[in-house]
Amino acid sequence: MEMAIVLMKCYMLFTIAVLAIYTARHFIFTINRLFGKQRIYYHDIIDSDLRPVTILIPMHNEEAVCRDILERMLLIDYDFKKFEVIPINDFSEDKTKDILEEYAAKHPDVIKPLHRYAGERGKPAALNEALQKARGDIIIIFDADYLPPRGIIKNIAVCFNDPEVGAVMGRVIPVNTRVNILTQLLDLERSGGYQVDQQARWNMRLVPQYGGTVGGFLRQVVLDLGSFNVKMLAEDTELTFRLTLNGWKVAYANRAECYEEAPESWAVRARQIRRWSRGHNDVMFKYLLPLLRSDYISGREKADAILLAGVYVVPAILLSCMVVSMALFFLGEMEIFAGVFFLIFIGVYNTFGNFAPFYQVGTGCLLDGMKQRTLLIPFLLFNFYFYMWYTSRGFADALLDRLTRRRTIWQKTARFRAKTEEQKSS
Amino acid sequence: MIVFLCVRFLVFSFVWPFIGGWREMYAANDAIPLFINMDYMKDPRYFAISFRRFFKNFLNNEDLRPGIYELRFSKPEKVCVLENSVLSSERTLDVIAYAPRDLATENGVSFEKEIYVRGSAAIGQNNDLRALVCDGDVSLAKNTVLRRWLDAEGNISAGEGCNLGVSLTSGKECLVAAGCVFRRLYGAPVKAGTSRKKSFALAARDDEERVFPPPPLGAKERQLEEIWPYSDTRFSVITPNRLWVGANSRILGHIKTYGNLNVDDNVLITGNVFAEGDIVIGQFCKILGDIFAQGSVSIGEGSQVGRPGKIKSVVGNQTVFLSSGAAVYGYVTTEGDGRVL
Repeated sequence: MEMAIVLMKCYMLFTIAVLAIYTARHFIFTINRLFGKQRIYYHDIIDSDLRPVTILIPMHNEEAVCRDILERMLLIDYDFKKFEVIPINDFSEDKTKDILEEYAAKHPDVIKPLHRYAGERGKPAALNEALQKARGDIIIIFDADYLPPRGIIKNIAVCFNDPEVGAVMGRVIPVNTRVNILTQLLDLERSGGYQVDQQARWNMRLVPQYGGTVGGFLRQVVLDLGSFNVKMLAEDTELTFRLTLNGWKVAYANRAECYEEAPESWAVRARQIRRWSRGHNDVMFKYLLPLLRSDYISGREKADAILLAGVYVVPAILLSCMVVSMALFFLGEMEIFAGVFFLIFIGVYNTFGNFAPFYQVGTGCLLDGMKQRTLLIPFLLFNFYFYMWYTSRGFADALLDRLTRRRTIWQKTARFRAKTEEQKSS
Repeated sequence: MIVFLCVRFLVFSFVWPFIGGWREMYAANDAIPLFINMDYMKDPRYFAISFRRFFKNFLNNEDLRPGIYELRFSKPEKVCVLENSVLSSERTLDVIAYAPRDLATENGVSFEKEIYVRGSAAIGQNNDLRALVCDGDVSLAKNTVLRRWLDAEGNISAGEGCNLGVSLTSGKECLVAAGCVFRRLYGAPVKAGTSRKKSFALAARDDEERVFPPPPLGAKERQLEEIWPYSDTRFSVITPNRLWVGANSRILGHIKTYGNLNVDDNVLITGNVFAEGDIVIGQFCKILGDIFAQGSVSIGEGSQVGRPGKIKSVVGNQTVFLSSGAAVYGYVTTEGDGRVL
């Protein structure tokens, strides 16, 4: 029993250390965005020789949204001799195929659908097949619910003039913020995540994350790395680490902004966050050691990459630590540290540490010029517990995946646009 | 007392932080999605294109007689259709000026609003302009101050000591004399100095028309700090520190440095040049790709960036200095101080 108590106490200290590190990370990023030197992106470069681009749009039963994105694609500002769109119809059972064929018939030089009704299912497998068909040097991916602005492709493609950049990530902005409190809160999170977190990592030459959509990569580089791993749920995070480990950089384009449809129901969000956690943690298990051993990346890039890899483990650590602390409390063994310095640490952590992510979100809103909606930040407290639960479940899923070597099944996020349109009309 | 304290604690902990949020949740005063301009396309001549379109709608293909008219921009504005093509010295015009043909100004003329010239414009010394759109050529005499932007379909020549405002763009050549300061220049090409003669970059003599294929993606050298004079490098160079490129060398690839980059005279680089520090390009070099620095960029005398028929960019986050005879086919921009030496 004594051994168990010692282990539990050590686990609590470990958790405190992990939380302190992530708190410092939040503050460093926030302070960098507020007061640090800002590193400019490549959007000021105008170049008449940008490389050929292929847009990939994975679609599974997307009849509600696919017309919108195809219409947007036809308005894109790019040399159409160097531009093609491959919507990937991945086992759709609704009218997606018919709609794609309709557009392909009207614009055969630009829209070249790929219909998949055999072989491996899921986004990574679909992307792999499309990579074989694509002719562009640069691959840019959008989800089917996205609404890209006209200038975004040039803005993304230009960063590949930097010979070290293998992938680039743009910024996602929810279009349906007005729907309910969940979409409002997701908008806050996106603001903190992109405007502060990603941009600060770009400023500090760390490891911005390629997010799988509103972003692109060099086709040949990904083919050389062996395409996407079809067993991975988080193929985007995996690509970030594979590129980093092979000496490529991920750029972040804060001004390559694109609207997305945020989940409008808690059940959908729960499934999404659990899937992200499962996929991300799977990547962490696979790449943690290679990251530690890598010769290509600097010490601080390595530290950032490891913290990025571990970001979906922290909620599970915290949740299990809460259980451990309760056990210690009822065993009468809560006294781990005593003294003034520890008391000061607790006070400081309660004052600043607990709120570090909220400062980050608030800073994001401030930089975006959204002042009123910062009033919603206290409600993120509820999201914290919600995410802690579902992220921990995702971690458990990933752990089981590792232990049992079971196959993961891709589940797409439900769309709401059609419902919203129906609601509007009614 | 205890009950009061408990209630106060509960209110301050669980009610007070959420009151503003509840109000915002229901009133949704700030719930509109963050604005993205869905039609935005990067065009260095955007201001002028937009102004011309707007003004041509106003003109509606009519030949306006000299006089004062009203035009509705974001607010109502007066437009003065100029009768004389020459404006006398020390005159101040506080309305939008429209010259149906050529326009010439004497010394010290001040324009507080935009000017649209359908012919060519010859702006006298020490003039003060807000914005000028011209369908022909523009010449700015020395020490002219441009507050915002200038665009010409034809050639632009700016005399010594001009302040070129936020943006100076041309459909043809843009000649900018020593002592001019700028933020953005665009032309085919932008040339520093007063001579319209072609640049004599070493590489220009050898490789004017030659097309260089991009280097293979994997062909990169990561630890170089020096490239020797008269050497040929057939791969891209990425270095975690500074890099020095010796005179008369040729690099058939891209360069990326995390420190400063110094390029000696008569060097040819066929790819793009990126640096996290400063970039100093020597005399008579030829860079066929873009130049981008998080620090400063300095282009030496007689050097050339890009080539005819292409658009390339020189971007320096902190400063851009162009020496006499330097030519950039495309776009030059800086967030800080741009200057012709």
